[in-house]
Amino acid sequence: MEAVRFALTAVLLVMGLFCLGVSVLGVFRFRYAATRMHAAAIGDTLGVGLCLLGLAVSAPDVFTAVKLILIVALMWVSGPVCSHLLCRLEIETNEQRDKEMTVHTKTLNEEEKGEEA
Amino acid sequence: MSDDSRSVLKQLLDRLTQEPLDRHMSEQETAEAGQDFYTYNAEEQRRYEAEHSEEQRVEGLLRRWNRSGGEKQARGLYKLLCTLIMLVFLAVMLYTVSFLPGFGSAEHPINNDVSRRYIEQGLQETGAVNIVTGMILDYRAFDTLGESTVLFTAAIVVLLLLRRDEESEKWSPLAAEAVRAPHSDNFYEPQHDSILQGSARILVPVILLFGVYIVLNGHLSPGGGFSGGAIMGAGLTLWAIAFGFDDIRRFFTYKTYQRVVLLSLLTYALSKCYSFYTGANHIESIIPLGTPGAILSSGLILVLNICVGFIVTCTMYCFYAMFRKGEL
Repeated sequence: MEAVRFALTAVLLVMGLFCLGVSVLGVFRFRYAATRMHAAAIGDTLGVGLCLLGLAVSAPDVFTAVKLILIVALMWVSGPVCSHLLCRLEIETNEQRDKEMTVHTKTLNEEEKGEEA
Repeated sequence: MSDDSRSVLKQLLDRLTQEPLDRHMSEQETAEAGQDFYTYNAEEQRRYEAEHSEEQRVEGLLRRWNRSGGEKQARGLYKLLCTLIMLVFLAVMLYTVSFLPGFGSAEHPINNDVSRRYIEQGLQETGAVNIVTGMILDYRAFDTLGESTVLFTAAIVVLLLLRRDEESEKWSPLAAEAVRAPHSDNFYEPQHDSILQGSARILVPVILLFGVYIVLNGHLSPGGGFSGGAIMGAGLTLWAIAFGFDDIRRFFTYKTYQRVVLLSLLTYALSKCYSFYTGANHIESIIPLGTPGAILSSGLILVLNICVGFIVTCTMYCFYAMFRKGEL
């Protein structure tokens, strides 16, 4: 039982750290704010979530595990909201918005019709 | 440095110390002219030309100075002086470090009677299970009063500098206009953002409750007035971002801020006065210490924690509101 728990913790932690590493790489490699935020979101939600889940599995008692899960819940509520606000500000204030990102003004159906015509 | 570049430098310095010939046009004059640009009269035209030729002369001097290698020499001197100063600092720091006691040695200055007494008798003397709180709010409560006063003073200075009220707007219509102008930050603030409002409705009550728990439980578990106050201030700030300052103003105005902070500081000072007085004169204090571990225990520490929590909450929120909008 202990061995299974340790293995599960190790796998979850390594996966979480991998996600965090990917997100850090993306934040430094991508060129525009919106794409960088896309990369950062992976680490914020999946990376931190997996790491804390791994720690919760290896926690000594249930109470500690519940606390760690609560931290994950807080991160999952607050992180995406922050990204949403940042992205909104970026769209509203970026002067080169059209160059850096495609903003859909038409719906998908309208675009498909336009391509056909 | 060659003689040539030195003489050029001297001329440059002479030029810089002279009074500038610039004449700025006031707003009134622009209005009288009735146009956006300003036409020079004969006298001003003469002055403008004189200035222009002066500028060109200075520019030529600068070019000559650059060509004679003056810039390179100055850069070299700068680097040399930087290196010298850094070396001197490094030597002084390393020399000071050599006087510090070794890591983990028994005759370390911190291993004295004071810390031993805090650890061994802190529980009996203060009644606080959390030794850190017992230390900062009982043995060293005077120090913590000073810290609260520093926070209060900082908030006063920020209020003095940044508060925007009717009086200041009367004198400067620009200040009132700047907040609503498209180029100000406030123009882009998230107004009525339903995602933010929904998550704030879930998060803020939890955050505030957690802050209250940390403040009230300060003598039993890690935490206390400062950390709990910071959490509650963050909760208020989040609510202000989501629902605007008007919504906060329903229960927290400038007057509330004044009253809460002043009352907290006064309560803190008075209760500590009492315990200092009894302690210095060897009088038995009438405040019971209670059973360690109970929520109503450890004498004045709970009251002091609440006071500090109020002060920190108000100061955090006040800073946010001042830097964001200039009003509470």
